[in-house]
Amino acid sequence: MNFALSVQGSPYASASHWSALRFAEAALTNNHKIHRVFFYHDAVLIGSRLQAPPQDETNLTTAWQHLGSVHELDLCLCVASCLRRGILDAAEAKRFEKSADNLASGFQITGLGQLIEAALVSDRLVTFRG
Amino acid sequence: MADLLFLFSQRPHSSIYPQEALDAALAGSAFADIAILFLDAGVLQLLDTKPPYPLSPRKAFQRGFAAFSDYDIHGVYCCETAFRQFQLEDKSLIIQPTLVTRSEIKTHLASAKQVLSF
Repeated sequence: MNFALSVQGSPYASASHWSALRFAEAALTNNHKIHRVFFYHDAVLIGSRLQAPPQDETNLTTAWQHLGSVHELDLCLCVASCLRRGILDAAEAKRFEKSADNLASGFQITGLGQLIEAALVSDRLVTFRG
Repeated sequence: MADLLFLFSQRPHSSIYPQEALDAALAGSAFADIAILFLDAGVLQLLDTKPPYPLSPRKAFQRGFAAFSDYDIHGVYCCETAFRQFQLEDKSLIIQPTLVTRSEIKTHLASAKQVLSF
């Protein structure tokens, strides 16, 4: 089956990313496909490369990056959610004249159309709310 | 039946989530036939209320609901149980949704190609 995931919860304040990661790992292990992971609302905070959780805790950004690189996942962040919350790639940082960008590698900032397209072309859209 | 069914289930002014849910629905309407279902405390979004503090400069985002027909969004449903629970019968609403029973909600959930839950 071809899945699309919609992740909405804050990375370290909810179980949303944990649940989505475990679901993705299980689905891929069982030879399903994941068309796209779309991060919306506070979930886009996962895209900051500046997060530094305690060393004995899982770094969720690294976990997505690892899963993404192994399985060539499309990890998309909503641009409007990102801009409100200070997640900027180089182009957005330049556009808004900010002193730095902070988008972690392996993620890309995209529009809401990517969520809609993922919903339309996948067999199942699975939402992980905060 | 709609390709995409959007579930609006959060109360209007305690977070930015309902506003971002509306953004997603309007984006969806550009690509697909969509319907919207208000349920749980999300039915409170139907009231023309303003937040007590400016969470967003677009204060009463729910007024955007009035433009649904301009976006070709014609399926606007509301859970009848929640509608009565929050006593919306006699209130002035931004749009008048079609009230649906639990069994009708099941039918809508089953027949939509995808369900987007907010």
